[in-house]
Amino acid sequence: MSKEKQSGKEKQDISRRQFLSYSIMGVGGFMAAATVMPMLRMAIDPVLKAEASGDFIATNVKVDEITTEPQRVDFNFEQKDGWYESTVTQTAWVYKDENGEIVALSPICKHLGCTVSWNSSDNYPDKFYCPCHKGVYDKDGTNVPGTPPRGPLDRYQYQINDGVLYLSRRASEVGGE
Amino acid sequence: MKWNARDATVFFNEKEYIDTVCIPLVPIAFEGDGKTAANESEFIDLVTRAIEKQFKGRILLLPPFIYFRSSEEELSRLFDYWENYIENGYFKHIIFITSNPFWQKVINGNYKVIWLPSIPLEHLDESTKLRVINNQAEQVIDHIIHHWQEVERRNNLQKK
Ligand code: FES
Repeated sequence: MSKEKQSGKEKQDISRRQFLSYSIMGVGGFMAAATVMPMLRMAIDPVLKAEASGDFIATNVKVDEITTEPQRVDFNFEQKDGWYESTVTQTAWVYKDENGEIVALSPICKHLGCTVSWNSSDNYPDKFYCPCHKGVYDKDGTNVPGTPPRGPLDRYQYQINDGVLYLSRRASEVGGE
Repeated sequence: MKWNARDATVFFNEKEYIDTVCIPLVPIAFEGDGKTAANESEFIDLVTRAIEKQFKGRILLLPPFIYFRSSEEELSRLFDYWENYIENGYFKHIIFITSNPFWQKVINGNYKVIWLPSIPLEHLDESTKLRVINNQAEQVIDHIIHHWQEVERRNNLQKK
């Protein structure tokens, strides 16, 4: 009887040891992932960058239709995102400044990323307003101090071809590269 | 904000700003009106994504809550769970989005149910679909802004 008991114990031991080695393997897997991940990112980043600074997308706006009043412009393009392709819709607020220069601002709030719009709050006429935490920006995208946003709105780069406005796929930070 | 790895970091760092949670209610059915259920599911998915894009910094959009058409009655308990999160101050606003009028009847608490009759999407081409969805989303967006203002006004009155 005692022999039987022993062998039972042995069985248990083995399975415990097995369990341990499984869990160690599991941890090893995680560690491998941790070392591979940054490398992967390095491998992907330049590609992303090339696309971001690369081609411009045609909008449906003619340059001589642009006034000094910001107007909302939506434009679409196809993007390969990981393993599936999708249509991305971007929005810009476009106007001509007092020198006649075109300005195309991103609507993404620099606080936590809600979408701002022009002249949408009665309390803040002629400002960009964020309904999430009452962020306010001047017409040129400068954040109004004392409201939550932490910087000015990003800007799209633009090109003009045949009188049509083309915008970059992504907006970039003002003062950044 | 979405319930994923990247957004979760922002969510837990900026908790005080993300005071609203949004839960899509999505039906499944494998017999009877299964096709309508599938359409509803796509519709709600697309609309809630558009809403999330608009209010990324204030709304946490959860993965859809999936329920069987046939078990609706039992599910009203779901709301009690969420009620706790409001009572503990975790979220100020809880918004359910559904295409099924049933859920409106169940609600009698601090949460908001936005009911949107779904639109058949099967035969729409991509650009029409986008327009239709944005249109619907726009309405919900106004609704949500209004809801926020309303609750804020009520709270201010209470403070005075
Ligand atoms: S996300 Fe715009 S003010 Fe907070």
